[in-house]
Amino acid sequence: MQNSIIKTICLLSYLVFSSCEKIDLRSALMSYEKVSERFDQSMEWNTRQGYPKIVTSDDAYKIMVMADSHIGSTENYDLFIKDVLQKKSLAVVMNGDITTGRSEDYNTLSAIRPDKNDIESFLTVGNHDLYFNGWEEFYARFGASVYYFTVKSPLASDLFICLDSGSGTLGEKQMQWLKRILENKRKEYRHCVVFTHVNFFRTRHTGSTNLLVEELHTLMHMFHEYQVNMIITGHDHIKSVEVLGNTTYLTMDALLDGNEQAGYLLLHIDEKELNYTFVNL
Amino acid sequence: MFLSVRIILIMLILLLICMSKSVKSQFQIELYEDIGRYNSVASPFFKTAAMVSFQCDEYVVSIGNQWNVSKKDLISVPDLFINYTHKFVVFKQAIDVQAFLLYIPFTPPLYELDWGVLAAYSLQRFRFKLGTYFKMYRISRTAFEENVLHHKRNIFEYFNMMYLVTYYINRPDKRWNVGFSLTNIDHFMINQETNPVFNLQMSYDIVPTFKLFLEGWYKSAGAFNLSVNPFGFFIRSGCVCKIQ
Repeated sequence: MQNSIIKTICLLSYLVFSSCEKIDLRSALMSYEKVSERFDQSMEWNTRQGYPKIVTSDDAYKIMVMADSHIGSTENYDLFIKDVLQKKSLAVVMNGDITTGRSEDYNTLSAIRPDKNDIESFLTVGNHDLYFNGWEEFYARFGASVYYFTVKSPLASDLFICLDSGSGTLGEKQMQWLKRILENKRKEYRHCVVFTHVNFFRTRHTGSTNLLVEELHTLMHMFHEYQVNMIITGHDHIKSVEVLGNTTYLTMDALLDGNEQAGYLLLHIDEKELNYTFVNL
Repeated sequence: MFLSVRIILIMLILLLICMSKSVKSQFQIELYEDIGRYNSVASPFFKTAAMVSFQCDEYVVSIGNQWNVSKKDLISVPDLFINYTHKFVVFKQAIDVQAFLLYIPFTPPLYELDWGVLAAYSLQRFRFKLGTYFKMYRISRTAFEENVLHHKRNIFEYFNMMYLVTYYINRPDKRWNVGFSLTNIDHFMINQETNPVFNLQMSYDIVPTFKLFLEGWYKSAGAFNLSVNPFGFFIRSGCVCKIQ
């Protein structure tokens, strides 16, 4: 009986770890680098490059957000970029799992990333971007995975924070950085939006992993205390909206090719409100 | 502190009720201290827990509370749980079925409430638990009325899974034992099923009614499908005292 139990546990473990070719087994057991190392590198980058500031002459503006394109193939990504340019979005945010983590897919993304002169694009890493030692590729091409950018319109300025949750935790250093940013800067801005890849709540049953509850407690407290308006995530591939107090937690549909519900998020910011629309391709 | 006194009074009343009946009853107290470090909280953290349980024949009621003494802004209410267990025999196998409620006020305006059912089954060297629970994150009425603009106070998670698999080196009749667990549950914590926690435990019965135990818990973030990172660990030491 007990031998059968041990064999069953081993078989189940094998099935879990070998069930998906997109998963890098090495990463699923131990990451190539710790989140704190990625954070340190991101801060070095930010010190050199500074935090981006966008200035617009319009009172109202749009930002378009996508996640989970998993490049390789780029059919839906191309449609998204076409929409971005047509709808005259002020900036675009690619919120993790943009690639599969493989070097060739980073090459593809580098080639088709919108030109900075056309539109500003901001990238965060997701778990897939880190597979196959993907962080080295990401950092070499796009730089920091933890940073903030601001948008100044004639009436007010807004704060947008990008976080690295590709390892299922922000890590101690990133948590402290986030707290400092919210403590010192939140009051200066009208709206505050946080982008990170991993969704916070298990609103449906999937095998995808979330942040541990102890970390969620700390983050939810911070978002409540500093009146963060919106948290935008991906990872779960199906959209959901949760509201707790003044904070809205959004999860986006995946932009993945072949996904019947493939889509992205359109943020509308005007003098009074911060609104959103889910757009399906 | 007031709540702790109330809990003890309730337990004493239950004890008297049990003792007044001619049933097989047992009273148990468990105390422990956790010292550890997580990515997300001020380190190190210290948690103190006390639990009492009564068994009357096949019924067991447990109540426990836990204080996070390292919290910077210490909140006045501790984590609390209440657990009701009914012991069944199904096909000559003993199965415990538990119903529980867990209250975690993690910050003054926000709290977590979990409730669910759990079945436990033991072999000589294995222990299994499997169950389902609901989780609710909620904002307190005061905070909501004071400064909240929207109308939603809750976030729900439905029918999540709880599990525990423990392997013991010794059979239960031995005085000492060492076990290894894979689980997503603890007395005052239920993680998502995709976030397993590893636990190495040692226990020693000084006398049949008094046991000391020491446990090491390790949590990793992003198991199964993220780029896995360490999240934290803690050491638990405590004792269990049984009164027949």
